[in-house]
Amino acid sequence: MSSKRMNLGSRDLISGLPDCLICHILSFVSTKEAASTSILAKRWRYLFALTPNLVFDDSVYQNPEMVNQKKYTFPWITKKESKIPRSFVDFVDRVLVLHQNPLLNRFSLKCEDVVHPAIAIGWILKVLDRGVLDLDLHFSTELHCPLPSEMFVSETLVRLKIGVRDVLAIDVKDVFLPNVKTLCLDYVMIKNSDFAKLLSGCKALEELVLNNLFEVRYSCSVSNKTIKKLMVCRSRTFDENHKRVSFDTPNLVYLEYSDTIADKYPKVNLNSLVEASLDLRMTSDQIFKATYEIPAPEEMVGNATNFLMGICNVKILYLSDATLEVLTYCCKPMPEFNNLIHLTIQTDPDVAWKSLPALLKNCPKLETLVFEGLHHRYANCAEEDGCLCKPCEDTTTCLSSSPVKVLKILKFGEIFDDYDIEEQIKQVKHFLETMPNLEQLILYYDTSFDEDVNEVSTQLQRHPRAASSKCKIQVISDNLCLSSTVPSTVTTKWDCLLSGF
Amino acid sequence: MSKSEKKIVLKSLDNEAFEVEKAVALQSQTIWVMCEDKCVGNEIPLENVTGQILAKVIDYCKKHAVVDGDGDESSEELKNWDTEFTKNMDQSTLFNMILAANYLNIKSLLNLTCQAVADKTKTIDEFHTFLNIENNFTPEEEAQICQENLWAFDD
Repeated sequence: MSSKRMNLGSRDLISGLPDCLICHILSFVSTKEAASTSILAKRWRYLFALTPNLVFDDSVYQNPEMVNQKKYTFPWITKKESKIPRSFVDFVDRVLVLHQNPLLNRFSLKCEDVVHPAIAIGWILKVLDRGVLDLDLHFSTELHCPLPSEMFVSETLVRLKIGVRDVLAIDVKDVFLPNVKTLCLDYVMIKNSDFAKLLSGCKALEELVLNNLFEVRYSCSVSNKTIKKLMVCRSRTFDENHKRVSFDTPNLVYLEYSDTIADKYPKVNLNSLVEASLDLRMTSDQIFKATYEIPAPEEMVGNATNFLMGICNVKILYLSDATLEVLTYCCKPMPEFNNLIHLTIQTDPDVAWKSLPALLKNCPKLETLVFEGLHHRYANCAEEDGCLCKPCEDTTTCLSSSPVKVLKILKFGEIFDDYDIEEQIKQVKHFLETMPNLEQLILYYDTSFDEDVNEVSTQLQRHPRAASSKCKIQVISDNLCLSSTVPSTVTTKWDCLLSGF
Repeated sequence: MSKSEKKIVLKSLDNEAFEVEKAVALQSQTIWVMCEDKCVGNEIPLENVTGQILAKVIDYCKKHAVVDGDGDESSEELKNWDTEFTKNMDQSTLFNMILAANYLNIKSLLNLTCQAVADKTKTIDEFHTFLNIENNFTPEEEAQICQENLWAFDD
């Protein structure tokens, strides 16, 4: 049999690798998948338990699609029909006994089924004892007992992730995590003082992810000198304002912040920030006020000014459509973004562009402007002051003095309700007519018809523009890409018209 | 530093010589240690790697040296390049790349190639061409192992 296998093209190449490399390959799949190699041959019997990464996830049973996918992963296994109930616990126990690799890099445990807390904690203590570098825990059911305090006193841990589906209360006593670079808390309830203690115990922290973190007093304060990357997200189901939110993170470079606005931002120290991605929202009460009670121009329905002033040195900024409304109703005056070179604006058919003219005016170094879709509340355009789509005085200045060189429109052609593509083409033409420094206009057209792309491209190429003749117009779809430059005959005439002479 | 000092010659098992920038070659920890020790001249013999494989390793190192240097390309572009790089490799090349990355101690390349093997085993046909491991278990032994790791086999 073995001589037959030596035919050309059927050499067993993987067996030429040393054990440590086979283990390394197996560390890229879950331990369950790795274990299915145990019946390949005698050499493989225990190799799966020697990989540096142990990844246990019993959730595949909850998701039929995943089960199907898994079936094809290691298909040389002939499925054994078994009447004995599976035992996740036995499996994890066994692998932890077998695991002889001197290095335990990662231990990931995801439990959808109920595992007795004492057992889970036993595993955690065991891998901590083995000096695990990366600990990733996800429980879908309540643990009913505190996480072991040993988790917060470890010289080896580099990455710690704690996630639960229900809110998990963490009680922190002593914290000594000198090597933790990444900390991720997902649906965790923690006392403010404990959170502060946790952060101050992570002396080398670089990345912090707070996903639906609940601090007891509805206030949140992130204070840490080393962190470079911070993600604070709360899902849209939470419709309440935090009382106070503070960022004292002088070395932070990247911030992702998705939450309802807080009542107060007492401290915003983000002096090194380069990039921010914001999805700040008003609560439904605040939206109601803004929409129906029509506040006086100087009146605000919330106040995020202090926060927005604190990020105004960024170079790259992403604003969700909700954040545009926050800029309109909860921020006075509009901060000056003197370093901003790349701005992305998400648009929505229910959100007006009211804050855009003032925002664009305050971005003197802006080079690239990206629109995600070209939607806005058209119905109110006539009433809105200074909407970008209406050539009123305010808009014309903000566009005709715009330094923007590259304009990108993503999801061009995405249509909601009964608005048609003509509105969007009109809008792009308006940009072309008014923006004098454009060097490149790129439309990412959401269509499966080549003719659409051709048509729009031709229309735009023919359209008079304020920009120089070098301005390149590209219409890109998944199917084809057109790009060309256009003669400059009309340029000067339009230049004059739009600069108001 | 003179121009010649910036270059280094790598010689493969089959005596093929490659002149590369030092910065490119030094991504290999093995070569780095050799250079540090000054135990070699400007020419480094790599007795475990064939010219065909070494050429590919150098391609990889060149790509990654440039990007680490001036940060011109985004990490996403680099990722796409990596995917393309391993996509069409036949199994023998891929396993030889793993051995070379291990010998030369280039961690990111080792991870990339091992990940590629793990990924390529996701469809039945690919797997049969990939692994041709002779099963030396008796049916009884096989059944016993399934019992041992019951949870892993119980779909």
